Amino acid sequence: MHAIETKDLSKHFRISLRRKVVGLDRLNFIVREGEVYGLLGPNGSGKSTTLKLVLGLFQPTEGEATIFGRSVEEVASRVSVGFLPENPYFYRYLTGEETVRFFGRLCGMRGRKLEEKVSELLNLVGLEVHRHRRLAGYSKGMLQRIGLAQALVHEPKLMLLDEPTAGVDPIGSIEIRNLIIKLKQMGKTVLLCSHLLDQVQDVCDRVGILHYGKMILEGEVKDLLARKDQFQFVCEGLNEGARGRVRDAITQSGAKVVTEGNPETTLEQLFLHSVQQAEKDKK
Amino acid sequence: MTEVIRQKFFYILLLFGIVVLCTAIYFSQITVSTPAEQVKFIKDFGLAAIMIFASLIAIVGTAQLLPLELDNRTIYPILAKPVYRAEFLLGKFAGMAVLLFLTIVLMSGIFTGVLLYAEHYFKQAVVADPTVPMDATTQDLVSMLVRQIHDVNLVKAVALTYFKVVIVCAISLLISTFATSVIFNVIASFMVYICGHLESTARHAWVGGQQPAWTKFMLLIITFFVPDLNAFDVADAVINGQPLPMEYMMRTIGYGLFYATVVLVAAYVIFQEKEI
Repeated sequence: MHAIETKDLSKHFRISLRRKVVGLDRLNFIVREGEVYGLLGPNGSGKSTTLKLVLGLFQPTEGEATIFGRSVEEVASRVSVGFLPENPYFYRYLTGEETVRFFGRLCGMRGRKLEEKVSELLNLVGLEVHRHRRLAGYSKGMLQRIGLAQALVHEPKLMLLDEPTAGVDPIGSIEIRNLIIKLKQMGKTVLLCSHLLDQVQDVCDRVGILHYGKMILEGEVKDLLARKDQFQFVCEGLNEGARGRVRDAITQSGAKVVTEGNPETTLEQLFLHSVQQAEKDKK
Repeated sequence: MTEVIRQKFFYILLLFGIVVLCTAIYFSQITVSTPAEQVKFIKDFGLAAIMIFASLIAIVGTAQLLPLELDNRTIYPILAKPVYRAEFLLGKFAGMAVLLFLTIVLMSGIFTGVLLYAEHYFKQAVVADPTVPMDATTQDLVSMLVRQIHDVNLVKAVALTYFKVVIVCAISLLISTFATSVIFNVIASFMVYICGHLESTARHAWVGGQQPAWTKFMLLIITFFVPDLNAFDVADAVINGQPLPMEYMMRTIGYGLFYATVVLVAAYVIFQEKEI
């Protein structure tokens, strides 16, 4: 049984009496249990529409979707789902602790079990020290993390994350990425919508690319990214003489050197390293 | 409920209502002269203040509930949980109904305090020397004042006010399921509120009058779709000492609950189909 399965799922939006816009066009895809699936695409490609259809917030024009074999039209299908909306807005007058407790109660949780779960999740998302602060004073990164905590409160098997790092600084973004990896280790299935491709590449097992409501490419991240006609070595301590011999050997074998030089770090890694170094120096 | 409680308008309206109730004695003194008339004035003034401020809180508070949830997108994480839309809607309504109940209880408590103070004040004014036995006329006047102040019908009038604002709250919630703005919702709710007070007049005109077809059609709409809110206004009867039979109370409360239920079912049908 798949975590998510859609069959010819379509959504048309009526914008006037005669005009309709196609939000999603006969989408067929599956998310396997235990994997992290990245749904990619530019703005307006249908990512959020797909999530809303899977959550039953929209009625499909055609087709159907199931969660662990259960139609999304059944409210009970959402027992297995945790949802983190894009730029999540919660009641700003509630504290972090009250927010997670509120969502736990919505799922029928009560008493000691709920209190233990609230503490466990605030710990997991690193907000234990801010549990008594009102959300009005939370940063964007903290709101995303409290969003993750509320999504996890009823121990769902499937997590739907809509742009989880939107508007978050690189450090917050890395923390959220690490949380997603932690979710996978906990055995959760994750459907991640994003247009920040670097992050998706780091955490996803498979990706699908949506454009104008259609799936235009889908597959394993490794398969899609690998250039099977090329090969690379990354070496340490290779002097100029040795480099020349390697070049000769490659040419003699009939192959061609396409690029050579020092490998680059990513800007994200550089940023993280600099900030961490500055914090160490301050101490 | 917490949502409305944390909004400023709620406190402003509540405070204003309390101030109005507390000034009832002062206004009674500058408006009418005899103690009996002054007590009548205080009762009229107090009941009207409770009704007006509870109605304002019901309309303005309820009108904001759904639009704010949609605008702030706080509704998404809630409906993404295994929560039925009917539960969500009913939760909003129940929260508002509890808040209105507490508001009316608070205002009624202050109203009772004002009446008890008035009783003490007027007794002192009527009885010049408490050590001297009262004559028959003074005794009659005092017992009449006490009867007017300790009138159980006041509780009945306040109870009917509560059911009236519950209907108003249900109507405002229904409008917010399809209204696009809070302002529209508030205006539409006020219009229904005003029409509700004209419903009995419209019904009589529809049954007996000889109006043009278009007028007749409008009267028919008001008669069938707008609640008869006048049935809940018993202040005049209470002030004039007319009886309020239990059978009338039960019938009116039953009508209120039935109407609120029908309106909530309609709100649910619209909200269930709404794309969020």
